[in-house]
Amino acid sequence: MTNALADVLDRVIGRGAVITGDVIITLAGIDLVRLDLRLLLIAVEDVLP
Amino acid sequence: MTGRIQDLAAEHASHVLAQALPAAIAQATTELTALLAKAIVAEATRAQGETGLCAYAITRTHDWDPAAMPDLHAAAPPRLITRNGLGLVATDVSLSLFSGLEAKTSEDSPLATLAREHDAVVRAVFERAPVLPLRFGTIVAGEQAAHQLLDTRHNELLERLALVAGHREWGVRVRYEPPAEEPVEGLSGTDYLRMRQQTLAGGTEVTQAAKSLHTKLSQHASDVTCHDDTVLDAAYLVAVEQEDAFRTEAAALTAHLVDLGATVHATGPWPPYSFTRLELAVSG
Repeated sequence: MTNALADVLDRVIGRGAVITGDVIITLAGIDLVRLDLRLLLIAVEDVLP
Repeated sequence: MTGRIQDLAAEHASHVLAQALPAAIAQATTELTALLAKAIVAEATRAQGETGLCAYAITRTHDWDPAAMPDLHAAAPPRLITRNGLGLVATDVSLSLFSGLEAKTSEDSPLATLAREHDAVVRAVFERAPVLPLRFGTIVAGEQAAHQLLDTRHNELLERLALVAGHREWGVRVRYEPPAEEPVEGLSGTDYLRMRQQTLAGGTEVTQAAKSLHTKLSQHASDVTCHDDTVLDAAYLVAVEQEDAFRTEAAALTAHLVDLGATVHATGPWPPYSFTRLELAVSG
């Protein structure tokens, strides 16, 4: 069974353990990737069924 | 006539301006935030060198089978970085892979590919050992950082892994759209009120049925998470030996909700994405 993309995005972007701190690649204290993801998540939430 | 319009314009100009200013500021903030975020990420990608370790999940040290890992389109298959009984599932990636991702949700978008790969890796590990899935896009600086992460929260991570071991996650989302209202024109006041009451009663019935479904399903679950934005958006952490009972109950109660006009979206089994409610702050 293949899960719907929206369900996968909800699980992998919206949930799961978050790591912060020195071990993460950051710039000026902002997680490099998460910075982008915050914007993504907002947009993805809009298209969830 | 023209004079009158000019008078009106002059009279209301300050008022219109006063309304336009906050709107303009809000619009500019939204647009500039997005642009600035992109620029910062692009700059960071350059400044931090080219690669990092993309981390998928934390697990116990176990018999690692590289062949069980899915192929990734832009990275080597993930490896297990071990430390005192714990392991971080990760692979080296070019940071540019993650910059400028857009929330296009078509199957062939870069975000969709990466998100599906993330899920595939987590699942591959999950089939062999307990996992704590990490948020998509978790990039640690390197192996040393990975060790530091596993060392710092060693006991807590082992405890969390013990809690999710032998369990899978199931999702249930219930939505209810009241039937479209009939055109009000031509309805008498009494008919209109009766119609409104029926609509509201339908909503109440669905809400109650969803609540009862949630209560009953929770009895088969070791842990539960809920979002409040719909009638029900819940995730259940269910022990493998409880799955049959859980699914039988879910099917019966779902049928009842569908009869009431609700939409029920059930998903699973998932790795315990919704049950790793932890923020791991690691400082050196």
